[in-house]
Amino acid sequence: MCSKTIVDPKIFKGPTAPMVTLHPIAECSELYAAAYAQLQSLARRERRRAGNPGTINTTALVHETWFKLRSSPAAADLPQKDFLAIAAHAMRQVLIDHARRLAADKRQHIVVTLGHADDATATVPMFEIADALCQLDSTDAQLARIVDLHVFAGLEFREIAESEGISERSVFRLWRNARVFLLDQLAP
Amino acid sequence: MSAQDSGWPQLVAWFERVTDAAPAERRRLLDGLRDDDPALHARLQKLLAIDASDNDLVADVAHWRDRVFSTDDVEPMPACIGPWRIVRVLGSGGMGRVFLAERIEGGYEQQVALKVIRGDFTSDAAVAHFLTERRILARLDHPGIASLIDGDVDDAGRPWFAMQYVQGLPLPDYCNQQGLGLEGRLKLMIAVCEAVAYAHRQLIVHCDLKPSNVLVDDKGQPRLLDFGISRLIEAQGSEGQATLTQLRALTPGYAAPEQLAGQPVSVATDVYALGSMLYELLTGVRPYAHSDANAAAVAIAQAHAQPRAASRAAGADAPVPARRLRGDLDLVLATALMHDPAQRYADAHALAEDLHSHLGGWPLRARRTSSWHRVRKFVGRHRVAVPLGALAITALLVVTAFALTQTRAAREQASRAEAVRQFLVGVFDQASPDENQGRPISAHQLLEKGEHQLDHTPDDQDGLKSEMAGLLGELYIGVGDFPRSLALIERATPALSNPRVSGDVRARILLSKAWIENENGDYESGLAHARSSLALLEAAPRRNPQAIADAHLTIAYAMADIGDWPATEQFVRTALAADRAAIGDAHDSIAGLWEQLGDALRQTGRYKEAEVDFDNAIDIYRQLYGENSIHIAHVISPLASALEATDLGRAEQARRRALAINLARVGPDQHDTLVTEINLLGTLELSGRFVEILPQRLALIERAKRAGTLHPRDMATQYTSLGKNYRELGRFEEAEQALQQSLALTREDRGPDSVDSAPALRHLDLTQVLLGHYAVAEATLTKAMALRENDPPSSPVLNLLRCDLGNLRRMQHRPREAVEILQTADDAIAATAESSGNAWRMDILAALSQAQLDNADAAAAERSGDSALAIARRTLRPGHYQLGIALFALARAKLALGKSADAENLLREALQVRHPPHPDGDPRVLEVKVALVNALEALQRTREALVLRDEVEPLLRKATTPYAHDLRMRLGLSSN
Repeated sequence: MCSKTIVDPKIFKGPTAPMVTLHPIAECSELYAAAYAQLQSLARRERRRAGNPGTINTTALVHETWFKLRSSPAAADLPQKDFLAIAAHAMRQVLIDHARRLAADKRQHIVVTLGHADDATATVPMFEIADALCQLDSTDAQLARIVDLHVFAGLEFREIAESEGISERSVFRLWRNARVFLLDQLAP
Repeated sequence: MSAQDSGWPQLVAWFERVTDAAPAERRRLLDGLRDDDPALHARLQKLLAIDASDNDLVADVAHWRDRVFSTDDVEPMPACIGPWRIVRVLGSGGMGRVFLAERIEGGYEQQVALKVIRGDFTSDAAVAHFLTERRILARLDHPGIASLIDGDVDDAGRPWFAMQYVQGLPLPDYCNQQGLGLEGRLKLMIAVCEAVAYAHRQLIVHCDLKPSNVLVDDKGQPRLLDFGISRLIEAQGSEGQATLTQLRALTPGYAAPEQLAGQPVSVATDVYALGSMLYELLTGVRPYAHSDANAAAVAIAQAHAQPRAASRAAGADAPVPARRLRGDLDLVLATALMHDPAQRYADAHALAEDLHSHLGGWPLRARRTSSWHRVRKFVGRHRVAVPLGALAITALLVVTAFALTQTRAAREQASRAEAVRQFLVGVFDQASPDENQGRPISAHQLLEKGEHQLDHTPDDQDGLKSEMAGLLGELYIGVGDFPRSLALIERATPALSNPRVSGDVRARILLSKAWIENENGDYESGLAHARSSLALLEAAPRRNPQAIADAHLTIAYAMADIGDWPATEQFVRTALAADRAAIGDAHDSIAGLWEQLGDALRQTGRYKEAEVDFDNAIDIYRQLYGENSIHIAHVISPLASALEATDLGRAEQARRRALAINLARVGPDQHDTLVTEINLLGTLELSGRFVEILPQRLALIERAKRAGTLHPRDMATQYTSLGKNYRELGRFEEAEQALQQSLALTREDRGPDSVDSAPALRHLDLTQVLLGHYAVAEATLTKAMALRENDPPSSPVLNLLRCDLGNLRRMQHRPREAVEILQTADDAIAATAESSGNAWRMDILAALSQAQLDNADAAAAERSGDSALAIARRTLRPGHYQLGIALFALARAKLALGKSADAENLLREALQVRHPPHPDGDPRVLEVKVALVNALEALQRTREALVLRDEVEPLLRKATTPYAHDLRMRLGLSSN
């Protein structure tokens, strides 16, 4: 569980790509596993598509996943809100796991730019984002959930507000808090 | 900011407050915070700066996501490579891509997995590494390994090779799809282990074993894939390791600690990975909860703890029920997953063997090297209670249960096996700390609960209840509660005549019975039952050579306890030959047999030979457990005893080594350490350092009494030593008391006529002689000799008792008888190989010398005295108090022969070595001074003689013993 794996951040600068693990809420959930598997297979399908444009509509994937899984007994009693959160979290995990495999193959970190793409110093390994998210999981689960929904499920603030039953303004405030938390983690 | 950052709520509250505020208000708030809490202010400022930045996390992640999803396999798929037509991509891993390829040859289509180095890996190092993998594969030809079929370079000059294409599922998926249970899973893992073991024999370490690298085909044959980072063992230690780390990331969840630490890999590295796989296969989870996490986190988790016992990790939905993992499999996994490679199974084959043993219900290799064997050996050697953790007992109980269950050949016996297991599960359910008011439960409590449960188990015709009683009885041996053990073993007796109880189980019960009987001093019955156990084992349809070796050892213990050393020697030699041929050298039971052989030889005075055998035992233990293992400390004990007879200096060295091992291994207060310390004191005593030892000895006895962990036999030995201590310090009454205490303890423990009381009896007779109570001393001596009458003629103990008797006869003014007895003793001792270096013979010769003198043969007395002194000088350190015995005897002979000057020199030396430890009024000091007066008077040094007389006479007048009377006579004084 990530809340227990947090170690001296220095270690994350080492040559081996760090990985996050699942958020506790999702860890043992059968549904989570199903969502994860579903997303993975969808992602594979996306990758195999001829003329892959290099951009994926994650929202569509998450929704498609929900559509496929909602008939399963495990999902029957689950509010859509919770299902979306689980699917979003699974999406996060799919991306991270896949990136890890790539990184293992490439023996390098997948780099994501922060701000100016040509500013080499502003690049950090994407695994640090993953790790920052993991820290957020254990520090403030609600913020992490907002991030999952917004970033990984690709939901708009309006959709998140509807789903979570809070105001759009609140969603924005939470998102802003999460954003500074994550960027603070990523900043040297 | 860390995950556990308790400051976050406060920080985010401030952040919201400040961002919501109007600019002026915002400044005011920040200024105030800066004054109140500068640290928080600094962090807040940082957050505000971040908030103002234009970093777009969403876009960042989208960018990342796009890379993740679009960079796969950008290289075009070639149509052909070599003779192979490429069908499709199978995957990409490491530095290569793998295609499914096919060719038509000889009319039939062959499919292969064709691996080609990737276009972006063109460095010499990468190519060299790729070729290494190909070379390694070429060396491997085993049904459990996907073999190399073809290889070359392609048109672009890039190397490729084709392997057998395995159509199958990864190991865990296969198990789940087939719904395999414990047995099926273990069998697959055994096959995997054997394939890895084969690679190990080819000097290849796989280094990246994980479930996805083991595919199981539709026939159920598992095959190892991907030797991409495997290594030749001989190439290890070069720069290869660093290169590897750069070339490919490991899979942290399965990687061994030494791999994550970048240390050299060995076959033990694969053992660890196999352990991880097995763990996951059986529990559904990986050994460390963080296995999906990064290498650093895994490394930290590994460094700080052993993985949870598999039986605890397995949840309700685990593929195998947790209760089936308890015991054996927990132990197997713990052994495979040891942090220190040296403590794991030596190779994959050893792991496979134990899994196999588990399936067959045979004793485990891991078991033999840990608690089980240790308990048995320990109990066997020291006969002292061993405090055991409840966990160890748990493991013991369950392995025994498995032994019971797994040896059932017939299927209809399954319900019986299940009943045994249910019984044990019941015991453990009751035994959780919760049921014990939160206190951890002791092994003893656990067993009591088991016994209680047994009382409430209904009787049955199957002998099941008896069998369980036997099981519990066996476990009570482990905690040193012999009376209880015996009671339970007695309850198990009906099982011995029940044909529905398997031969194995009966053999075990008999062996336990033998143990207890040995413990209780009923060595004849112990021997008989151990032999019956052996007979059952030998008649078993499937031979269990390890169990046979254990039975041999038990028989050897019993024979040794009976004290028939030549028979023990003969038996052990035969057993050793058979067992070494059957199971090889590296086993505890073999080491145990060497030890017994050494002991048998030591007891018959063949010290040099004994030393060699003890060294054999030590070598095995060193090989099995390393230089500082507790087992070595255990063997040192009898080895040092052998050395005590020939070389006290080395004996002390050995004792100190054992003590150091114990201190390091179990700490100062453990009873093992206590025993070692006791033995060291014993060795020091041989050097006569009694003044220094007495307080230590008294403190030791107090400690041992308080702890209550010493077996009565060991406690008795302590009192014997204390008695000797007191005696040598001239405190005869206290000495007699201590020795009587020792005898009382032995009587209580062993009954009235135990051979164990012989040493205390001997010290008592010596003390009683010094007290002047000759009749009592003679009675004591007679008793001791009766106990030893079956000893072989050369037995040191027997001959020392003869020596005492001869001496007593001389003191009783019966020198002719004395000479005869002492001559017999000397002849017997002289026949042994090391007699010339044997300090004990010095005692006999010195006594003989004095007897000869009193028998009016001064010339013979001088010769005997000379021999005695020669031995004494060879075997004792200069200044040793026991030199006094020979010095005094020879001096008396010289005096009688008129060689007074020689006598004086000898007597002065005698005085110096005896005083201390013996005090002023001690007869052993007085006798020397009296002789010295005689010598000085003969030399006409009247003045010196008078001074000494004045010193001695008052002390002699005070003493009332017959010997004091004799000494007064020698000074020409009237009898009163």
